[in-house]
Amino acid sequence: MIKALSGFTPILVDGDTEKDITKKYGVSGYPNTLFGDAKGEAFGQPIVGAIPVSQFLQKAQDAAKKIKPGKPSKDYATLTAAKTELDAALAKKKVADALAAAAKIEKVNRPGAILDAALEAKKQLLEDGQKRLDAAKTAAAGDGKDAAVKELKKLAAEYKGTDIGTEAAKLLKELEPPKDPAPK
Amino acid sequence: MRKSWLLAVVLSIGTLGVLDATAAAADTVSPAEREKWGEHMGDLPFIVGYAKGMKEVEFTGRPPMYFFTTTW
Repeated sequence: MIKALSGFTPILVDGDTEKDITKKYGVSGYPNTLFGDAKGEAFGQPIVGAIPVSQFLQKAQDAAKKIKPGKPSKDYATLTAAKTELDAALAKKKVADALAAAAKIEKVNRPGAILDAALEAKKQLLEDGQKRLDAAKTAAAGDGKDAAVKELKKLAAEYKGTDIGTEAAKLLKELEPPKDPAPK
Repeated sequence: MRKSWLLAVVLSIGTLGVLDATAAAADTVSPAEREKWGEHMGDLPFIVGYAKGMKEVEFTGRPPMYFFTTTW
């Protein structure tokens, strides 16, 4: 039942300011709920006023069964797929994958909940990465060179393409300069 | 009185916990819209305005559920 309703886009129409729209749909009293198809055409009879939840659910279920969803835009498909990837990567703590998914969402650049979630995740990951980088620097300056090298290798891989990854790779080279080739 | 039936309508949708707040890809509600329509919308991720809502329908392919109301 819940799935039936989650397939809809809930739109609030102000009857005072959008009179042409209320006229188009034949709305004469408020509140008034109406389902529509992906082209915006009305489906079935409007639900006028307050009705019991069970009746509302029945109408919503009928509408969900009979109304075909429209074709999502390419950007929306990209956005939702990237959001799924982001959630999975965050759950598995795969930093590089999470940053890659966030970048895909940023590229679509559509303001909304998904972009907000991606930007917040990226911010958290970068903050975390910076803390780890600072800790590795401190360790490298002290007597924790081996641990620092290990952490920097991880950071360089996980944050590749970001300032953190670049700096980690640079520090790594300083701590572990490439060995001279063996003399012939 | 008005408030009570309005609440009933919102509850008839809202008690379902129906609509995933992250489902809407677009910016859903501005603070000004939330202030004006908060009582009407409950916690549902409504998009305020027909044109903006239909853009979201076109973007996501999810058909519309229109909620016509007024502030009086």
